[in-house]
Amino acid sequence: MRQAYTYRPNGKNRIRETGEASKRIVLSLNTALCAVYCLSLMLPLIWMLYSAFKTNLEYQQDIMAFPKSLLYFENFSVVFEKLRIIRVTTVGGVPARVTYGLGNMLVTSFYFALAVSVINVFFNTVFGYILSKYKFRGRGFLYGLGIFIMVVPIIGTEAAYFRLIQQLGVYDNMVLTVLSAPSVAFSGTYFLLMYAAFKGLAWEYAEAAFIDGAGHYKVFLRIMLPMAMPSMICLVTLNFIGMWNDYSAFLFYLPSYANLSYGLYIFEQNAAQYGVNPPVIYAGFVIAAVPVVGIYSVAQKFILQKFTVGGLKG
Amino acid sequence: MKQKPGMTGAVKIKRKTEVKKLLFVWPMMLYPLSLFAVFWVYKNISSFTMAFQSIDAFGKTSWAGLDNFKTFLYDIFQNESDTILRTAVIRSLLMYGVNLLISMPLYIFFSYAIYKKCPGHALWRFLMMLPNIISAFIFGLLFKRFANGPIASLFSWDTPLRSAGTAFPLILFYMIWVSFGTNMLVYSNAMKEVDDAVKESAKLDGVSGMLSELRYVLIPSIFPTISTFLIVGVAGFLMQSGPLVMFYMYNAPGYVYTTGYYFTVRIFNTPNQTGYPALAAGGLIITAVTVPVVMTVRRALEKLGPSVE
Repeated sequence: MRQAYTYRPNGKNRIRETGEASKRIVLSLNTALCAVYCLSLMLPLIWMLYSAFKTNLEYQQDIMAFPKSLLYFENFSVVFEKLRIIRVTTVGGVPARVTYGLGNMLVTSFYFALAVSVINVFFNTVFGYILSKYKFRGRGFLYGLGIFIMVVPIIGTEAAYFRLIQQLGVYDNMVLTVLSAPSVAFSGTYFLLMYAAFKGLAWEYAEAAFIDGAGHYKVFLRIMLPMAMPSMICLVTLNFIGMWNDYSAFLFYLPSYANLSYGLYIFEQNAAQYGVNPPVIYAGFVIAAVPVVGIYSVAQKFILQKFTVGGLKG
Repeated sequence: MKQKPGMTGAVKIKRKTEVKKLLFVWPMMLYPLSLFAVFWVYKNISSFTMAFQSIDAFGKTSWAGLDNFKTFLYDIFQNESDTILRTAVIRSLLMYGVNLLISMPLYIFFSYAIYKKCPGHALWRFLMMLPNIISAFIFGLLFKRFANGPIASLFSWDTPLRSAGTAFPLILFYMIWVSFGTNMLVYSNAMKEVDDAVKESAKLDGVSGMLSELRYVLIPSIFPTISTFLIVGVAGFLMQSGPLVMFYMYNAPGYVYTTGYYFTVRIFNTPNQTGYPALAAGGLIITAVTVPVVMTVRRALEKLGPSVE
């Protein structure tokens, strides 16, 4: 190791590594850049938050100024009152209009996000476990196929997919959309993460259980699954947040339904038609953001520690 | 039960164990594999056949030979009255290039700071994840309003997301700006998992400065993670729409189109399916061009990637 000796007349001589000064400079520069970047992320959020408490007049006079009062909740009541999404569905072959209020959208968001994330992560876990811990004919093929799907882009199939889901009745059917979610559960980042999680778990626990007479299902459900739970919680949380925030599924594939993200998206795009001003829109954004920030704050320990992706080799 | 000649008890037990194992493995995978057969295998076959068909306004299909391929190629290379597809391909390439040359080094740089536990690292890590948590669409719509409001007045721009000179650079900026969270998390966690023995032996070999630690120890050690993201990025860049649906729904100006957005608009914002076969043919052409590129990149990364030795 290269070291430098610093002589000081007062006798407090010291030995230090030569890279220390450059380390400090790089780290300070890095920290400053992190701070600037994070500030840039916070700025629009803080702006959104305090703008939600402004009257329209205050907003129009100076869009950057702070509100006169942080107790002005009128914009939030307007969101509750005016956020209505009308979607068209067919009941018994007859077109019918369905109106979604804020409450309905919240419920739809919750159930959709929960169902999709649980079913997705469960099957990613199943494949991660089986492909990392069992040797059987077809294992290598499945793993290779998963990687092939990830790295070989087959482009332009959206039209065929759109036609297919219409033919199968999945289009505009919430239950079937959720059930068809894990169609490539042995590919993608989530699968790789679960694969790596199980690969790192010792198999001795399972072997001991087999000796005690446990079957494969019992070993998976009672022993291995609990051990992989932190990784699963990380993925369920991330997937839940992703689905909560997803408006595109409702825009493209579920025209009779509306979740909160879709509702706010339409609300923002058609603000003039709804007769709402920007502070009301920001109040809506605040309502949508609060639940996921809460969930993330609770689960961040798992997310920040467990989200690791390795290479593509098996 | 009659025992087969030559079949010992041990073989019987082994076979029974194997059967039990398979009775676990395949039933557990049956449901998602069935979904895969329908939603991936059948979909791709159907897309392939669609590329050689034409669909009329009533949904009736007929054989079209290579006409759809000709239409798509004409739109990319020769159609001077409608250059939208050509623009889309160029914009998608630009997006990927920017991601590779600007975003990737920044991800590693920031991840290194977090990994080194720079002052306030836990707070930065939490804040960097915000765009992944508070919804891309809230960030996107806020950015749109911020760009058209405070930023526009600061630079005296008039609706910058609708001006040819400013719209695409702003979109690129937005994509870089919100993309740090997950990447930073993955890279910093990968750095954390580098074996201490490797770091120690590098120190003994004289690797002392931060940049040399990054160059000689960390980047080679986390290279499998970097190459995974590079390969998946190459594979997916022509399918990305970016934030265009969020910013413009289906009405983006032609000069910001990407291929992903082009396909989205042509599929979801058309009254009938007559345009689908040209899109399927276009997809096949792009796939045929992209696959060798992906394979070459993968091979090159495997062979030329740095090593910790």
